[in-house]
Amino acid sequence: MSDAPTVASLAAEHGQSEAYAYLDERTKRNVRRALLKALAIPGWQIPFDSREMPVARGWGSGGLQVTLSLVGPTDTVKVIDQGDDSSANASSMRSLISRTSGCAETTVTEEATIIQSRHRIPEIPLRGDQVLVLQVPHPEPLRRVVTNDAVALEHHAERDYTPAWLDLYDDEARHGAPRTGADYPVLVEGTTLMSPSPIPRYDVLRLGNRPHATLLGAGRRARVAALPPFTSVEPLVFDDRPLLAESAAEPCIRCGSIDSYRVQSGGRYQLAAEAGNGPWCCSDVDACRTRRNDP
Amino acid sequence: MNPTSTAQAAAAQSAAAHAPAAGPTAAAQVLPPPPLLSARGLSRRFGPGCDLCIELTGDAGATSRCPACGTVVAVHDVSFDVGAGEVLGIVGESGSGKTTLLSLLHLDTPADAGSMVVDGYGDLLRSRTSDAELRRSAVVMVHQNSLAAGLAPRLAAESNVAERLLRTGCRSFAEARARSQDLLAELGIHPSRHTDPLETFSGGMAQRVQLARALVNPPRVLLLDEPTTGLDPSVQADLLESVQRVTDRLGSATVVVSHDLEVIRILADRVLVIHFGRVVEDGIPEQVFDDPQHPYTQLLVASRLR
Amino acid sequence: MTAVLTATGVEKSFGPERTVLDGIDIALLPGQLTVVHGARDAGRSTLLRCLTGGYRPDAGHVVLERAAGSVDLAAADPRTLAWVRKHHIRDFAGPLAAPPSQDAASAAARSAALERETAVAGLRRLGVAELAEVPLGRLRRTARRAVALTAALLSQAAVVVLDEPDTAADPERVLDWISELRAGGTAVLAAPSDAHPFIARASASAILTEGKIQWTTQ
Repeated sequence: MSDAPTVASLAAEHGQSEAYAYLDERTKRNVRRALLKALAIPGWQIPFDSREMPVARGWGSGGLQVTLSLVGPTDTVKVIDQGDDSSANASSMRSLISRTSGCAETTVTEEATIIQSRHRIPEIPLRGDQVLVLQVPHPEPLRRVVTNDAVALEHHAERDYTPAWLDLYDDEARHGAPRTGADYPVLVEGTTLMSPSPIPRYDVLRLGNRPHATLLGAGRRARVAALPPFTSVEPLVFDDRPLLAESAAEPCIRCGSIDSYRVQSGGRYQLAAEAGNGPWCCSDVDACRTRRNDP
Repeated sequence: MNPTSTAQAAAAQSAAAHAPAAGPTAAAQVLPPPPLLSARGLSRRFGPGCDLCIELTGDAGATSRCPACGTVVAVHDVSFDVGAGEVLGIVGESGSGKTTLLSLLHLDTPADAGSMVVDGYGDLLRSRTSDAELRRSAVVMVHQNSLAAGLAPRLAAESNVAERLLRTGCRSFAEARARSQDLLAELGIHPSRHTDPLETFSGGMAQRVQLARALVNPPRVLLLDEPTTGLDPSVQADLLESVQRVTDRLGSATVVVSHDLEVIRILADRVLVIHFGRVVEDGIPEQVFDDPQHPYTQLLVASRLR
Repeated sequence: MTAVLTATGVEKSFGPERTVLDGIDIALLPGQLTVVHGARDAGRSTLLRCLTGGYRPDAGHVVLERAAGSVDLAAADPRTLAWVRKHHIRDFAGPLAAPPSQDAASAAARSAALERETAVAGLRRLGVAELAEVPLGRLRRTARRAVALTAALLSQAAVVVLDEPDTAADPERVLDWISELRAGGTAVLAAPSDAHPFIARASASAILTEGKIQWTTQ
């Protein structure tokens, strides 16, 4: 371990007392303190000083700031976009992180210490020593039913989520099912309503009770939220109307899996499985590869 | 009192069988039980106020606006009691202050003075529990304009009723649905309309939805603001029946404000007449409408279309 | 026997020129029928209303005496009056104030605080069974008065006061029903249009004339 560079030594090398991995020290402290608060109140949105990032707002600037505040030279970072490591955004962000922090990069889920993701949770089970960072465009779960931010905050403060329940009731009564596809609101520890980011329902059902921490960063709205390990996370549903995961018509054409989250190729940025007309494949590329190599 | 025939004896026996049980019951009391709602000295003015405001406004000055400082004395020193299951009617024309009085009772406007004690809640005007919570549980208003009542126009009628159940923690969809639909049906709304958005409902129907909502969690105090105004006559009659059914069931203290004397006569056990923000007459409907004492009441009664 | 309702010195005027009641004393006893008759405009309706709390007398006392206590209607606050008029004193003075869409039986039942079937039986008893399902708004005035009379007779009040009941329904049926009420201990006060059949069955009767009561039989 004595050969491994430390933050201090790297900074000293460059004659800098601050600034590591792109973010200045003050920003990192701000984000880390916000993350600590977020872990202390699971599901609660904590504001932070969101900085300008070389990524358009709404495209992961929040997740990126979370990762950059945590990463160190001994980390290995994986970045995926809808399960795919090789998308332009995912690749660019991974490069930025590894170049500025000196850490290693990987596409293999098992090797990563930090996994930053947009729109998916990796299907390979994560360990307690890994950290999952999710990119969140719209952190406020009540945004569709309560237009005013101040009023939404009051609802959270009183843990009164009647507007969300009402919206759900109306959907069930008039359409037979909730209309929300991705980003289905969840109740953390049974009390706090949170937006889990636009992950599919398949992943919403897998968010709870994980051995690792899950951090959610929203750069445009300047908030973070967090789920400590082994936190209960349940979708906001009536007791007699459970949330169902999306179903795919066919097994993955590459690995043959019938229980992975699959999408039809031909629709790059689609979450719902009805986009595109091509064959069905696993959305999580690394998981699919793993299954192919090790059936 | 000696029955002189077997027929009369039989009649006496059946009368006794129908008679109230021996022993003291509530109905056997000569005095009414303590009131559910007790308002004392409610006052509200709009403006800076001065020493002459009270003196120069009201009947004496024939105005609500103080000529000395321009303050409008909207409500001054209004007191009344309403018991459980009783209906108090408040009559007044536009500008009488009855709307402001309702605002005070619904905790929308703060009172400058006075108290409003509701059994089990204390003085609502001095309470430390947040107003929104109080309003939900203790005092419910049925508005002329359903949007003002906090109904969601784009959501289904049954959703608007279910909201009350969801708010109090009902987490079973089937149960919430069954109750909402039952209540709507009770208020005469056909099942085919239950999932229609509220904005497609006529005024009278929307009021029934409000009444159904009130039935979900019976409030202590029910306020009805001009329930029949603006409705077609045939709809008015039906709505009055619905209101009666609801007030009978709820056992709340009900306050109805209307400028229509016939509506008040039908619904109310007692009547207050408000003029320039003050109570000028307080009695039972027979007294107020058939033997009015105050000149303003006499004018109102005489102005009825018959 | 203690009177259930005692009026002393009751006065009522409408304006300075029209003194209708000039110091009336009446006591109503349980189980008895008291009849007040007199000229058309003598003020019988006014008297009845003063005795039931419908009008507030200008002077005098109207004391209701029950096992649970006593109340002076002339001085009582409106809430007490409403309570007494619901539970202890029932009057028939005109049609019911009820929504015109409500059918007769339901309106009578609600007024008397009884089941609808009981109201239907009551209407039958007065010989107006056919009114039961008809909305009040469709009935002529006489029929609506019959419904109100049914409600008053059905109620289980200690005092029942009837203003011109014989113009609302068949007098014999009314008298029959009054007998039953009396047998149950109710004090009945009636001001009929045609006094004779009533006076024949009355325990006491009086003429109201020039604002005063003159007892003719007692």
